[in-house]
Amino acid sequence: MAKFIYIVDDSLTMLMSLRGTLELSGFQVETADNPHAALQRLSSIKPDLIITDINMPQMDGLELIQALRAGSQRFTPILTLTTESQGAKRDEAKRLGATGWLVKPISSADLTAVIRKILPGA
Amino acid sequence: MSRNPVPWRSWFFVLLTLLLLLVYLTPQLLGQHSSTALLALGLVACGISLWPHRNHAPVKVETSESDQQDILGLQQTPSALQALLTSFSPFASLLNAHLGTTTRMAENAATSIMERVLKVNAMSEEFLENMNRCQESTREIQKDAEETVATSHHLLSEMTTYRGQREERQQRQSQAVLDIAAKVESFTPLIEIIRNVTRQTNLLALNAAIEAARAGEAGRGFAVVADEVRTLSNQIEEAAARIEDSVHLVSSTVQHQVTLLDEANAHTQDEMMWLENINQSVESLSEQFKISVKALGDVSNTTSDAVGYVRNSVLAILSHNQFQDIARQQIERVQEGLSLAEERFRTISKSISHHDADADAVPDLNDVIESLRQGYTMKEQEDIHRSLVQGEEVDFGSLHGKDKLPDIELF
Repeated sequence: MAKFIYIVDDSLTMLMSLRGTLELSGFQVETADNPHAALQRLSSIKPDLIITDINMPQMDGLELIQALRAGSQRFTPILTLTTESQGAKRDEAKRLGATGWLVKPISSADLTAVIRKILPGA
Repeated sequence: MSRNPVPWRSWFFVLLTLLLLLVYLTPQLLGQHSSTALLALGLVACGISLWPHRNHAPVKVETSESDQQDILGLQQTPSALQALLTSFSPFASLLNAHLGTTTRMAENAATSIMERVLKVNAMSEEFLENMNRCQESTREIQKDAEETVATSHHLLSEMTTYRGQREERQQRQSQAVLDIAAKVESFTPLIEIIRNVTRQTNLLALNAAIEAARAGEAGRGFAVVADEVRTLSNQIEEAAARIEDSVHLVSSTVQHQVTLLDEANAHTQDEMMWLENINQSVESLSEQFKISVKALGDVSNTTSDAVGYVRNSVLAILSHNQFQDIARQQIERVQEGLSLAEERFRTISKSISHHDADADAVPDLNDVIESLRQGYTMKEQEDIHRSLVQGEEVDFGSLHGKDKLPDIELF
């Protein structure tokens, strides 16, 4: 059965790029264009992996990670995918329980390789 | 009061900013960090040039003595300076609107490109799927044809064996029938002999009857015998005639049977020939079909390679389209810089209008620049900032520059 990946990013381009890449690679994908909608949806579903942007206007990706870890997605792997280059934010993401830190742009091969490392058998 | 001219340097930087904006808006250059950096530099330089600042030590933009005099001249004509400063707001709004439009256009173009390439990919994969189904069908047809040929070969072989056995049996039967016919025909001379004997016997009986009549009463008994002999002889001749008819009938029947056997043998040969022809036709058809299947297989493999190439290209295009999000964030920083510059102009204008041209009322330029810097999210933005504002030497092409975090890191 295809692994289920949930993506949160305020950029329509990023959502389409990631959805296309992952669906072509055999994953089931659902997306949200803002963290509030993501939090609401993720309270009722259990994806195998969550990918989130960090710099979003409605809510910071770090806040989203914190809320998810405190709520319904305590053990779900969470990857960040961001243009952010500040080490402090990376460290904060790690402290809050993120599984990994990816920098945009990321190639399809790198993205699927990282996901398959986190989700063996995917 | 005389109107002081706007310093040439101010207009130069405004024009430079416009020029850089035009370069930036050129679609072919979208996503190139250098154009964003040039625009940011232009804006910063424009801001620096248009008003005096208290402390510009960290900024590596130097002003000449004549420029300072121009600025001082403007300070002596507050209304002119105020007019210049307030005129920047609509200009900033215009630039912001252009940048916003650029971002939307780039996003629309990027999503449209991705939609189209995903559609192309879906169609090419559907085509390959159909091709594979077609190839699978032809493989099944080829398998059926090969089985038909094999069955036909087996049938032909059995028919050949059967035909040989049947021919042999027919030959034996024909020979046996011919032997019977020959034996029956061999009765014909015997019938002639019987006829000769009966003719002689008849003649003898006639002579005996004449002699018996001449002997009178003494020959009466002999005449009866002679008469009986002649009757017997006639009966024998009639029997011989019937035997001869039977021999002819048997002979003609046997001949007819031999003819029928020959015809049946000829038919068998025809059937064998037809079967062989059909077999050859099926075999030829099967061979031609095999060639077609191979050609279809080659086309299918080529198509599969092409679809694989399309798929990899689509994945690459999807990845490369992420540039739009990166460019958007860079443009947003430039828009933020514009807003900061506009705000600063407004503050200066306000202080002039209140006849309070004290430089302390105006936010420190370094604070403004630092505020802009706080919004940076990318290493490239930091590098440009350090290079242009702090004068540091930065290797923009380096993948392992100062403070460079790994692009992929699992905790």
